[in-house]
Amino acid sequence: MWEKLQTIDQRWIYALLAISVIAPLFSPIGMPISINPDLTQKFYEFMESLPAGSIVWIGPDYSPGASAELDPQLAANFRHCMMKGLKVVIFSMWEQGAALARNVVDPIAKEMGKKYGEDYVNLGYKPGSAVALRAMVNDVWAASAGVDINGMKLGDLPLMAQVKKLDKSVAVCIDYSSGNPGDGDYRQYVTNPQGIALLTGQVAVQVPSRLPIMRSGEMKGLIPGLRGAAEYEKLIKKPGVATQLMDAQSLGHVMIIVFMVLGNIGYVASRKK
Amino acid sequence: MVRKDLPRVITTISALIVVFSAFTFIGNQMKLTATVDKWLQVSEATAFLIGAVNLTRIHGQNIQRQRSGYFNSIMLLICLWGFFALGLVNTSNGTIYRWIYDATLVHMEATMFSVICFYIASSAYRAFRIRTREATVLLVVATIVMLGNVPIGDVLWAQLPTIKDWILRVPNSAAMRGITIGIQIGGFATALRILLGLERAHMGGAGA
Repeated sequence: MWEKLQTIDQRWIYALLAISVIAPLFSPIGMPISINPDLTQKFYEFMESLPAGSIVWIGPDYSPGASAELDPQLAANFRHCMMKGLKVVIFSMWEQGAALARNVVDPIAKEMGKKYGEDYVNLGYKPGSAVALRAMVNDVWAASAGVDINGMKLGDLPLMAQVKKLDKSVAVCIDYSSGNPGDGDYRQYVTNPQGIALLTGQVAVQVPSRLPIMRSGEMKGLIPGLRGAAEYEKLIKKPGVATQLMDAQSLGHVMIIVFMVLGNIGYVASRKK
Repeated sequence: MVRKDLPRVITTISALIVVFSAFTFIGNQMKLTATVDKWLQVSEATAFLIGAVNLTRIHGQNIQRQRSGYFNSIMLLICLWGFFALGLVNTSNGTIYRWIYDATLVHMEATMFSVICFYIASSAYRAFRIRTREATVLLVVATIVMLGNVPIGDVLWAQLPTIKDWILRVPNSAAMRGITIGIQIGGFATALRILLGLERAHMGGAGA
């Protein structure tokens, strides 16, 4: 019997995990979400401190694999920007990032009655990774070849008259990162050399590697994974998809722990025998 | 000589130009960094082209010789050049181009990533055994961090998120700093070996 606990068929593991993740989507439990005071709270407070009209530079540097975690972060943060009357410029070093961001921000802007070109601009993806980012520091218009993600001329977008260079005219850079290039390039080429504030949203697996940087003060705030997105939704009082998914993630984690405990009970019992 | 030494000479000269442009006053004044950046962009675009041509050559041979799984090669070439042609005709902002992209690639990649969750569950069940003292510590810490990261941790015990935060903030940060410093020193040493022409692994050969 104890041996069996150590060799549960993996199909059972898959099936039970799938049920534990899917069931709360249909029947939410609504567990309370506490706010991380060192990460999400600091991110939110920094955004709150920005006066209306400030330029916020957002880098959605991720691919669809990370969109489950980073799309909700971007959505909550972009909504917060629009609520506060901040102006947003989006630029991606990842080929798929700008298109993903477009699918996230356009519906929110439309819902809130915000105008493209006046309240936000999506410059799209520019090839060259850090090279493209460095080019933005010198001349945003030239580095973008004078057009946005839709091929519209930057001269036709009133907001871009305020954004000629990626310099102190930008109040904060926010990078949503799931790898390289990402927030590291912003630190190296933009925010540290020029003294611009950097905020970041990270996939959960990258959070441990970013905590020393957060503690050093190079980043002013960090949204950690899907949990962070749910915390941000709570802070702006607009529960969204991340809040809905928290129950699923909770039960998924519990299921994994239950299997780990079962395996160890079997291991210890069979060893004593 | 051309195959062995020429790439080393080009690498060393390129590295010296980058060092000169980024770390010297004259290089900064001459705005050499911007020029080097342009070279990098052109090189990157050329590398993409070479990659596409190479991929076509290899998979073309697979199809020609009807090797096992050659159907996959047909699909790959159709997707590669079909999407490229569509981009030229329809542009990357075209409705059809965007629809194919949004309806296929986004969901396929998200699905691939989601499947990892099941493998993680299965491998955690098999691997996390308290065979040694270290493994026991790992198991306990993993359990605390996993529970502390989700709302159910708050429900079970209000202190769990606090303990999780401490683990990430103190021992984790200390370890990460050590690892990062090690990586940077290793990276610097490797860069220096490449600059001096001592390292050849990146050109397909063994290091000196």
